[in-house]
Amino acid sequence: MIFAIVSMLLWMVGAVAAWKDKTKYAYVFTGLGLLVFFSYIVGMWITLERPPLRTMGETRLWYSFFLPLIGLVIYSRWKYKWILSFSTVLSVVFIFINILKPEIHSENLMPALQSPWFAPHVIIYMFAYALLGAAFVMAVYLLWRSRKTLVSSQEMKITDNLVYVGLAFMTVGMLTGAFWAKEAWGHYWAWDPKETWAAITWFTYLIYIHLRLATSKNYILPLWILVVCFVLLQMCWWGINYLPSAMGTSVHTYGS
Amino acid sequence: MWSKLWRFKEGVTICCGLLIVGVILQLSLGSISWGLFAYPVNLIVALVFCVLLFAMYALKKKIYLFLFLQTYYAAVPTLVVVVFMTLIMGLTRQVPETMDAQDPMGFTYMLRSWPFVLVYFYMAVILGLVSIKHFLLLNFRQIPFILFHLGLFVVIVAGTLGSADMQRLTMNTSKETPEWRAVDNKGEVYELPIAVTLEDFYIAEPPQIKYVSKVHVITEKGLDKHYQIEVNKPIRVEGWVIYQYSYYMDSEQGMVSVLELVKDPWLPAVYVGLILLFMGAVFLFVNASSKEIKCREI
Repeated sequence: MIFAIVSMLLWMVGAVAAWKDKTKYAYVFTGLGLLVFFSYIVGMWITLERPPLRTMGETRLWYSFFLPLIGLVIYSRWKYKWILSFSTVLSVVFIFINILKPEIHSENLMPALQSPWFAPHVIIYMFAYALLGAAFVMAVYLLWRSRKTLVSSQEMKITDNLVYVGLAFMTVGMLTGAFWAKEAWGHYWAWDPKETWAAITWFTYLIYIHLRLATSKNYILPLWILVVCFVLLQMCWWGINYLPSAMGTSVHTYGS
Repeated sequence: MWSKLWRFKEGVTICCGLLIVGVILQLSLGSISWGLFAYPVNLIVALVFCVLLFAMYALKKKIYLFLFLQTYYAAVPTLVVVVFMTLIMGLTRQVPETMDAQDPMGFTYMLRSWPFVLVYFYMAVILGLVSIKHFLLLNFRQIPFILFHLGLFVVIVAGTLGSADMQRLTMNTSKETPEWRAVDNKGEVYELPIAVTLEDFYIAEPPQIKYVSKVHVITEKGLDKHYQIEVNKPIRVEGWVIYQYSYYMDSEQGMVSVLELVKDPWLPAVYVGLILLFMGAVFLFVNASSKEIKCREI
């Protein structure tokens, strides 16, 4: 908890520094925040004697870590001052959810989760979610701004790149899941509710990509599709836990 | 509409037509029985399908539809209906494999429902044609596109047709009695060329809970070997993959360890597709981070 608060403060300072064009401070503070947060994750890994990847709370932890990391990468490449503030705000939201509803259990891993595929599967997915979260933030920002100023092709290119890289990671996450499923449950793809929703999300991002390639001058519709994609992604990530059609039928719901 | 060049309007119309055809087929013929595609039917269907795709590609200058199917104007509406049908699946509780669909549209057993299958089939046609196109116009920048389209094509075709040949059986093994009979999920008994005797079953305690079966395996081909099976650590014997599935205590036989035996002859083909997709993702990542991606429009 102390670690989380220190990280949040450091990220906030970093974001403010970015706004004020103090690039060096932005790097240093955001980097320090990431370091503190990562050492918290490592500490947890050691005390739990297993990678903290299993519960919703634990995946949120990784998400809060990857968001500022991706924010920092985007900032360093394209010098978008606002991206660090956005990634920090999003990350802080997730940290607060975790403080209020930790959902971190100390029990041991059930046997099906004791697999070398487990850690890469979840970490890669969380990284993909964070990238696509950044694409969503970009889309919302551009849509909000488009009432006043036109969206530039450069800005669309950044969004496209975020989606491409996010989709690449999502694909790898899905594949690691498939190989793991074959080892643990006997089949690589069983149309389990989580898998069905993962397919929906994956195909919806493909709609964005194909639409962008088909009509390179139309920006508004693809950006709205990104917003829809992100909603579907949330459904896939945690929404299905509350979905009547999926309850009690998924191998992806553990604990609680 | 239908005057050249076709755009989204035509693409959307084709997809709507496909859904209507799917609904009519579903209501008149009922759900699809994948069992009819068991070997060698599935192999023939796969080969004929590939030959037809090449023929369609070759005729693209004569029949405009085949050219149109390779454009984004066909791809985007297709992806939209694929998402639409998969969304219905995600929102409808699916019945167990042993049951039939509980609704006339077959949505409660979506994998056997005509509209769903037709839409995915249509996507496979597009993927196949686009793969051929990119393959023939080989260009370094197109590599991720070839890998993605071909990979997904292979996974969908091999996964769907191969499902007819997949066998998943459970076998109850107990100590000192060799067992070679196994049952499928409908309760039908199969005699296998593999006999398994349980030598020991134990549950390892925390910190790492493990279910371990030590078994002695003999096969008709003359294999005679001892193995250890755990959750996540299946063994492979003559085309079968054997998993730790469950266990129970029986008053007569003592500890019974339930093993699952899976045979999926099409798995190597599916894995080829998955690996193509994996390479596609890696290339996409490298390409996206190094330079702008451009795809040539025909």
